[in-house]
Amino acid sequence: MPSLDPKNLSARLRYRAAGNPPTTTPVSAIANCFPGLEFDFRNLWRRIFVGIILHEADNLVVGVEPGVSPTIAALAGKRLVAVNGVAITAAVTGPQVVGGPVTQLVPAAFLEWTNALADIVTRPGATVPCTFQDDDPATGGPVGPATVVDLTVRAILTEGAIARDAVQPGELTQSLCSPWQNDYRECGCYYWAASRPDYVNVDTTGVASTGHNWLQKDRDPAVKDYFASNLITYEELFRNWPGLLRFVVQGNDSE
Amino acid sequence: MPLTDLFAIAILPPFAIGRMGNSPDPMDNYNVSPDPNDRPAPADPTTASAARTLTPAPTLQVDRATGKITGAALPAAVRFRDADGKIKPVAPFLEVWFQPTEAAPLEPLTKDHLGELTATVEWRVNTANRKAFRRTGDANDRIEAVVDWFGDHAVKSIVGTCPNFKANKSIPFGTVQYIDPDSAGFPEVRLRFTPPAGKVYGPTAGDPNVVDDVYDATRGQWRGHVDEFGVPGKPVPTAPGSIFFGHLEGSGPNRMWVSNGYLDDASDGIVEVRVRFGAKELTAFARISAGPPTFAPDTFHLRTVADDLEQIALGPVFTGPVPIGEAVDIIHRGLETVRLFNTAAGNDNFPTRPVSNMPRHDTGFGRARETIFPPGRADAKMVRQLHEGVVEQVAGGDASSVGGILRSPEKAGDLSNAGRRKMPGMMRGSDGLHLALTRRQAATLRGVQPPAPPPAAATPEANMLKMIDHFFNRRNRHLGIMIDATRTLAELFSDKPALLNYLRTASSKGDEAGPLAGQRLIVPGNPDGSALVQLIRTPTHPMNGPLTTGTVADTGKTGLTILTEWIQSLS
Repeated sequence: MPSLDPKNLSARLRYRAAGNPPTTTPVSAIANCFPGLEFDFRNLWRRIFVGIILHEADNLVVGVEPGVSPTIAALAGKRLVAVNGVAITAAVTGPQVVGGPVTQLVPAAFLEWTNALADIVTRPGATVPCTFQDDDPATGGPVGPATVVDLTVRAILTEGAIARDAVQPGELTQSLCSPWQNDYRECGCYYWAASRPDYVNVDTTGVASTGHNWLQKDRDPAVKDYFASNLITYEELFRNWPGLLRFVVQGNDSE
Repeated sequence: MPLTDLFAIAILPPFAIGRMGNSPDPMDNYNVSPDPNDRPAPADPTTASAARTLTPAPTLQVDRATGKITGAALPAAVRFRDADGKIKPVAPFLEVWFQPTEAAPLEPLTKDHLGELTATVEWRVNTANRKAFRRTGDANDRIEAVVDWFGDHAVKSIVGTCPNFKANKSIPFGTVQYIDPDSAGFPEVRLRFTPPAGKVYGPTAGDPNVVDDVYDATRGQWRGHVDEFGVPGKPVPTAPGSIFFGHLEGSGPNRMWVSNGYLDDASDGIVEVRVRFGAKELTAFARISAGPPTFAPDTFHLRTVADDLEQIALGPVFTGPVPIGEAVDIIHRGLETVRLFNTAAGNDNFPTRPVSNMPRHDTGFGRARETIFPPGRADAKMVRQLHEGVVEQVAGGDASSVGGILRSPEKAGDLSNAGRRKMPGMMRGSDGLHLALTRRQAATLRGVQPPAPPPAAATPEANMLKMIDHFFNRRNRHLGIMIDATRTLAELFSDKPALLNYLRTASSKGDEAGPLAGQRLIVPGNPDGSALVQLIRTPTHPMNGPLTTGTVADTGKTGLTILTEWIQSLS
């Protein structure tokens, strides 16, 4: 009889039930969501602090939960800039001209939730000081004096699953493309290449590689032009994506 | 001993991903090797970068009419389409497990247990598609589906309904079926979720892009919606914004992207189970979702939902010794990404071509448009070889060169040349900046213990030979340096005397040489006057980290120390 330590959360999360292919497990789903493929996993963090609701991809407080105190209610519309004294934004820096000096381009860009809040998410129930500033609509950044409010960390995982009060049904997918087929053309899908391939049938025998763009129709084995214009259109995806998109195994079309 | 009580129940897996397909037949089971869910260290580092293999696995045969499992067949091959060419949906099973006491482990709940307890099992499913609601903010745009408590074994449709739908219209979100545990040889309590076909819906009858005109555009605002900031009562747009099918209206500053009102049958939600016996009721829940297939099923992404969940569950710090298989798994997934990624295009080597890439995204912050890496180093051929070498190196127990080149999450906004060359390279993170691994992934890679240390020192030249062996797996980083018309510097790592001779006689060149280009790599007896030493001492040079941190196997010395001692010994 198989058994599993209930406290082994990693084993629970990675458990593959009898008969389930590997693509049913979270290890098959991409996590650099901008916005994502299977989920926009950023939605996991919207209710990390009891009382407020955050934008899935920004440090903006987009709402408060019913019955909160006036202090918490006043946070609506503000920007969360630090948690436990640690900034959750960072300056964007770089050269404005090629070869030029590195300068500040954006003073306070949002940093993704998973890493920014890694130190507090493991402490559900703890109260942590959170620093807020007003939102500057002109820049989309924080402005004005800081306000510090103690907020309680909500448990994101309960019983080994994503907590019910953290994410409501439909929220993990709500900020993906509508319809999802748009994701396959609109996004820089090279950054999900291991799930949604970009460059296939690649030949590396020459000085430089050649290969097909995965969205190309009518792939000619003798003509591997990544920039060929015969890409599957949005309309074709909507009407017949199962007939047009190809499975790729070992880097090559498998069908 | 018969079961008389249960302490708790759980659904495993707690997060089951369904993947759409238009075939009536669900996807067969298969195994992938190596499996990223089970990360043993590769037995042979030189084969660690090989592609994964897919093999058929026992596939539960469900009679949908009765809900019974009739057997577990082993398919002849792994096929993602049926005989008609249709894509098979990935339809996960969710099992109920239990703890008899608080101290006991979880084990599968079976028909026999139910009999011993005289227990009943019931399920409830609640999924939703909130894509239109997320944009419009109109609660009547929520598409919700509830399959209320049931305990029979018939197939149940998950029907998505919405107040802003036309009369009698709905979107099917798939089906669920409580598999009958009274199945010979398969007594476990389980539910199967079968996702939908992946169809597109809209507001307009006769639109060839949609299979049904479900949305009533006279009541809802989804058709005609425009993402806008600062509109009272309207949600703050998504990031990226306007990611819905639509069309352009207006011109100049009034140009806007207007929704055509399209919807899909993707959804996510919750499966609940309750087990009742006597006066007791125990409940558990799990998450399900329906999304697109993975079209490269033998490869896995560098940073996955499993990585993020594991950091949430276990924290960003890896305590204790790192199993080498965990580190290899991460690097191997990076290799799998670049094997399917036109890295030259991602590097912006073709500035006049229509490519979406980070160099172009970076201009949105006001950064100059510029390739990230020198174009000659960004072609997929070289990038693959480079990553293969790193996989072999880590599989051999040496991750000393990896930690220093990882992007720190708080440095994601460093768009300097050096900042953008950190790893993972040329990829976008959830914040729209350059991607960083999870802190736990980085800690895993940095926690790999270096190979066993030193004893014996030898002659300076003998140590140089050991250093060449030590860095053999990194030889492909020198593919861009031609030593004659046909050979690269990487090839000399297989001919150590020839490599030493090259160092003695050649001059500095290549993308990283900078102002030292043309100067002699080695000036005998004068390490400080040798271009190679000066390059390695430059903090931003790629060889700085590997040759100044960690020690070369069997020498107890850093690479830079070995190099300077060797140069000093030459006359």
